[in-house]
Amino acid sequence: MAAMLRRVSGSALLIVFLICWSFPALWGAVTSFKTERDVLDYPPMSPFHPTLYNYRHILAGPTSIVPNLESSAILTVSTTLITLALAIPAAYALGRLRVPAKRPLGFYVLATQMLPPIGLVIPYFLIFSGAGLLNSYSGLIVVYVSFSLPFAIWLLVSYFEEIPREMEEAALIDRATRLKAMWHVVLPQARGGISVTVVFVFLNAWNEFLFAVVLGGRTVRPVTVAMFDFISLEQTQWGRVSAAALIAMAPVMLLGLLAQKHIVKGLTLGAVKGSGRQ
Amino acid sequence: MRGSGNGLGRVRLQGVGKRFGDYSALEGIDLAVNPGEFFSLLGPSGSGKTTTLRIIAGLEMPEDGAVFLDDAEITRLSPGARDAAMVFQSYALYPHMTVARNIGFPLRMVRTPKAEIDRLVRQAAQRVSIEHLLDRRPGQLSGGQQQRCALARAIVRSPKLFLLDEPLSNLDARLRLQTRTELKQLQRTLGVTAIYVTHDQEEAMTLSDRMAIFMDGRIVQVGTPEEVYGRPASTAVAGFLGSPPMNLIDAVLDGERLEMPGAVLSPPTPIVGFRGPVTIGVRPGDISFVESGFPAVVELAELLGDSMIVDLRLGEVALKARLLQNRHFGEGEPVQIAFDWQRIHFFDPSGARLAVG
Amino acid sequence: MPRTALSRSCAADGAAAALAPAAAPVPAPAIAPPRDEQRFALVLLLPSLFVLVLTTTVPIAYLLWSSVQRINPAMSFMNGFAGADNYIQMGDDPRFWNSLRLTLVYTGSTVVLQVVIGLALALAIMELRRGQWLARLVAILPIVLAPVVVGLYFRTLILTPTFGMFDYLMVTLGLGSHNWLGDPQLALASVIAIHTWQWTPFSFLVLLAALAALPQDIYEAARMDRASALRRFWHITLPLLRSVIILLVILRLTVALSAFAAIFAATGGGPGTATEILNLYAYRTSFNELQVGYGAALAVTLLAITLTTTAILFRLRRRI
Repeated sequence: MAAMLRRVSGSALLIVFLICWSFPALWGAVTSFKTERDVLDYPPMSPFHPTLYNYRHILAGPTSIVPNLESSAILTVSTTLITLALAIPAAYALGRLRVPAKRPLGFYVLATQMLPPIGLVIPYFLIFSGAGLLNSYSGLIVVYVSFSLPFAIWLLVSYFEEIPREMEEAALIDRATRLKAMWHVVLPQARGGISVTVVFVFLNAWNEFLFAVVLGGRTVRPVTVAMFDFISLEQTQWGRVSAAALIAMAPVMLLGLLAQKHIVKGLTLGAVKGSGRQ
Repeated sequence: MRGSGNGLGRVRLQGVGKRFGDYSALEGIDLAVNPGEFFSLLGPSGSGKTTTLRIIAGLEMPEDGAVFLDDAEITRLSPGARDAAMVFQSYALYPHMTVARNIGFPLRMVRTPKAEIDRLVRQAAQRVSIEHLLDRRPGQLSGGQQQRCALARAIVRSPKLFLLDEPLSNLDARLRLQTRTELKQLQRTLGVTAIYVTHDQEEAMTLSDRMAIFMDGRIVQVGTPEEVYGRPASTAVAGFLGSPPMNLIDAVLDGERLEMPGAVLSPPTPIVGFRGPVTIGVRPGDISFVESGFPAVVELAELLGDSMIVDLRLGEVALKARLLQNRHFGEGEPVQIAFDWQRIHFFDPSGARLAVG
Repeated sequence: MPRTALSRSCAADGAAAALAPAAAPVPAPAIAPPRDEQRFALVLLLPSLFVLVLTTTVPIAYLLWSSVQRINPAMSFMNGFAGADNYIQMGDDPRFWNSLRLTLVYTGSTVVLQVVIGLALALAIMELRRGQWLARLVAILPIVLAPVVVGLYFRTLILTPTFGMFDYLMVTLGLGSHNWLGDPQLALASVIAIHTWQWTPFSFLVLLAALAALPQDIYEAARMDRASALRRFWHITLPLLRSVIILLVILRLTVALSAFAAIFAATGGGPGTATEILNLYAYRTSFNELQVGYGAALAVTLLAITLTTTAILFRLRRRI
């Protein structure tokens, strides 16, 4: 019957989907435990002896990526904190208060989000090289905030808009100042939305490449840049490449796993919110 | 596609059973609906009436039994192939289509020519008085208008069978009454068999030619409104129909005496055919106030405008009586009441009707 | 508003208006927001606005200015105002037109593939009750990875001839071993596949949520109305999803236009210029060939394309 056929093809498609999209990561994990000789074994699926050699090398060896992890951590955490400190009040204002010229401001925030990074990297390169800000954390953090902020505001506004209006009104009647109303009453309600935003800002900052490779240098060198170096240096050493990739991506993979529901909610809210706008 | 409504529309269910996992929703359902009948499925929530309707519609498949439409078995047939139209409780209108397209949708699905569709849609809309709304979207209609749109979509295709799942329950009280009458007239005019699910016994009573009472996944009685009201097959049915519900009193029947908690009554003629514990049923309307009868005490009197409901205590038994005129009662006032002994119902301890007289 | 100590400590002009018996019975003044609300809003907004203007609008202005300059960090004696020279040069530059063509093909293909495959997956998996959590879990992983890592990864473990998993698979299926990233004929398709692989789960998740939000009773009504599964999809599901799909296209389009890291890691823009989409061309021009002025002009062109297409799509969305 038609219904059964649909169910079978649905399951088949699910299996194809699962294999196709989970296989690369699983294969990478497996490869990271192979010696360089086993890696080039043909056919690739032959049994092998697992080893931690690659991990030892990329963590403790001369080309250790531990300093890169530190670099990423500094960049990402600073960016996240600063972005949220700026975005939360701004989104609150745009989402709940009567702001003059709200619509054009909203468009402006949206437009800044749509700028292709290459259009920003070039002027930043010129400005920073002139000002000696290349290879500096402060310089790069400013840049990271520049692309995280519009996105964070856009995301948070939709969450703030969802909270019923009466919240502030009740607080104001209870003699709270506007600031206290925001802090004690509205923000706790928006905790979910704030968590989602934190997750996305973190992800985007950790995974950033273009700005880091152009504007960073020897000291400011996040894992994404370190990974890229693998291409020239140790490209054929797949064991190390996989181990490095796994370590480099461990924080975001962990975040993805733990914050699954948040991520799905964030993605879909964008779609739903957009359709509600008109 | 099948016939255009001039088929008979005779529906038969035989031994239908439906289970959801461990839960048995329906058991041993036997039903026969005659062509052109307005047949209600009445019962409290969860009694299986909606499940039965959905099995007739083809939206659910029964585990046991068979469904027949005009002697052809349709048990496993897809909903679209049954020539039955359904009005959903939520109306289920297509939100992105105009009223006209909503109504015309079933015709488009069987490739009716466009000119024909326009004509039939207009006709159906006129029947339910919404021809002025054809270009609106469901979101722009009131609840009553949406309901009519759902109705029009059902009648436009001249099906053999109408299936209605509590179509009036989302309307406000006044609209509900008005629509009820229109619905009955519409069905009479079209002459199509209609199977109607409701939990509102007043609705079922006023609309149906016959009805089936559902309780806990089984049918406990089938009959005309007069039959089920006047001769309920069990205390459950008796308590379900009528507002206020029938007074049910546990008593012991002993020929010339009816022993109730706190009172003993003597019927005018001895009751034969049974001895022992019974439940007697007295409709509130069958209790009258007389000069000399059984002594009772008024506890509360509620004025409804055209009638009154009086809470009485007879011995230790609480009764409700209905009066068709207004009379002033004091709280705690002693009165004398009498029963219409011709219209008292007797049930055995298991709740089944007793034939005594 | 009487400036008593009480009203000042209240600071609730809204509340005061509601309490004052002589005031109109409307809670919010219809003409203009109360002064302190406006002040508060501006205080909250200004830091972000300041940062935004400083870090995005100023650099863009600088970009525009650079695009009409000749800037070469290595040969700074050559620098100077160039007028529209860079743009004229662009018009005659075959490499530019190549990159434009590649951008069109790349962006168009991956967006269409993402939406179509994502929709197909969402429709299929919607029906299943048990597999959904697993599908969602698997979908999260590609999305959270850094594109540069994905590109590198495909370049090494997956697409390497003979030893890569995909190549091995193709050999097993009888399609033969190929140089997926090194062959100019195949390179573009390969990078499109990489981008599609990484971002289809995004479309899948959004569409799955959108499908789940559709009212279910209208599908039963459609079944009663004799609509087959295909027609239910065409007449009901698609029209109701139109708005979400367009938004999805807008989002994926902007990402595809500015996609950099994955291609850069996988092919660097090569072989030759086989995968050199516009922003890669701008990058190479600016940072490999050090023609920053011309690179800026290329970037401005990309910016213009991005803004125009999104504006068109947004307007399309409003009409639906």
